Amino acid sequence: MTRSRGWVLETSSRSQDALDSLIKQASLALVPAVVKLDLTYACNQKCVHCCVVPERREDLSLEEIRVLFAEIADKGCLYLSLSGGEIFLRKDLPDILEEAQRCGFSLRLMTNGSLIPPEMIPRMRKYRVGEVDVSLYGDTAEVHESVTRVAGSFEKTVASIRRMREAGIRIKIGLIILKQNIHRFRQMVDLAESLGTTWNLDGSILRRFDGSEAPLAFQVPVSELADVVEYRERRMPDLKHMKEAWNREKWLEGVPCGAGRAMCTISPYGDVFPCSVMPMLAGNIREQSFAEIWDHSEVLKRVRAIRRRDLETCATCELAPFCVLCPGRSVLDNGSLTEPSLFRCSETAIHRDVYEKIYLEGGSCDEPRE
Amino acid sequence: MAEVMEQVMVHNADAAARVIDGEAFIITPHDNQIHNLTGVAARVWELGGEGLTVQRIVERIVEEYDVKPEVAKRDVISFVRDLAQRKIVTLK
Ligand code: SF4
Ligand code: SF4
Repeated sequence: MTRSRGWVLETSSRSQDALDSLIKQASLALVPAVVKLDLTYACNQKCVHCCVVPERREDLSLEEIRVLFAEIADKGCLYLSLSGGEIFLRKDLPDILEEAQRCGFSLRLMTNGSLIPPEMIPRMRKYRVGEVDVSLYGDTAEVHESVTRVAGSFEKTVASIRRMREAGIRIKIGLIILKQNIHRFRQMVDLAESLGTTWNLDGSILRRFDGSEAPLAFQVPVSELADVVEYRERRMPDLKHMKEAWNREKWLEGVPCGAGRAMCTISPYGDVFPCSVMPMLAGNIREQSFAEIWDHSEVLKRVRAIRRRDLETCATCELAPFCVLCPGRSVLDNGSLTEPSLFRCSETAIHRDVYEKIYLEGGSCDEPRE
Repeated sequence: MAEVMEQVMVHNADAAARVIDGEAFIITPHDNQIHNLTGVAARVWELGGEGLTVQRIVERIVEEYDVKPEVAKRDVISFVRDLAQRKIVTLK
């Protein structure tokens, strides 16, 4: 990242810092700088842990999406993530990407990777696709497909990743850890690295937006995620940076996150939510303009009003320096913006234990990787 | 140095950019990096949207800020070269 103060240009090795600055600045100015649009909830895979809830309503049409893009651009959107379901099921995806490019967004595509037409890949750069996020559930067809439940999906996804890499497209592989694949997580990282991509290990499974707990059956018990957290920290130190940068007073004054302040999620049916994991309906763009929802929604006002010091349990929590506090997860897990999610608290206790094991008990840590 | 002064600084048309409360956020597509410019630097970058020469940008900065012309000239030149190197702008 490049950051300037006055005349001076400084370069930081952590591009996360610039994104944090964007979220912080946009949160203060209430600019929806980061928008996620789910283009469809239709999907060609049948992932066991899927938390998407398809409805009978029509997906937004290309024309509705055009109007929406113009509106969010006008409100200051910079990053646009297109997600699903599976976005490559939309026949009009090239038109959608072209429109997004015309509106000047930096684009991130989120896909299972098994349906990307090879002829589409060279065009991605033209559409200003900055990154493609692909989910992977195993390092072999057997493990991956025990989650996707579609024969052949592993080979197709890996082939697409290879093609995109050859075309110079940046890819981040989301390595989703479930009961089915926890025993293979190191090999999954090896595969991602051999494909030349960055990766993220994620062991938290979400219940569905309609409240169904079905996906949670595949959640690895938090206590068993310690190895994953330790491995991730040794490869990409993050807890260390969090702990070093933490200051209680500043932390208490801040807002929990950018949900509804700097970011929002829009469903294929036009429903606007403060964040993709926060099931609080702020409005629908088929009934009101995006600007009306963003500027006047009572739900968004409620979300924006919260400061960390209002979160009674969190405000005095000793684990706070290790916590990625998530009000969305709180709403999803216990219907309250202010009551912490027990999952998040247990996960944070693991973060603290791993931090102490690596940094206070004399362990060593690999150099950070970009 | 005289050569740079006559060049026109323009924004990279392929970069996504927004100004939020005086801070510029620019995402360069070749490396997907986000750049955050604040204060005078954000202003210099903003002036790149007006199709001005570096000479004219220096003059505008001297008009707008309390800075000596020779300091502004030296620093703006090195700054726009850096921006050009990072493909945030191009010099034509
Ligand atoms: S660990 Fe739990 S209680 Fe503590 S700050 Fe995080 S969410 Fe709040
Ligand atoms: S609610 Fe949670 S997932 Fe959403 S932006 Fe906030 S911290 Fe992130």
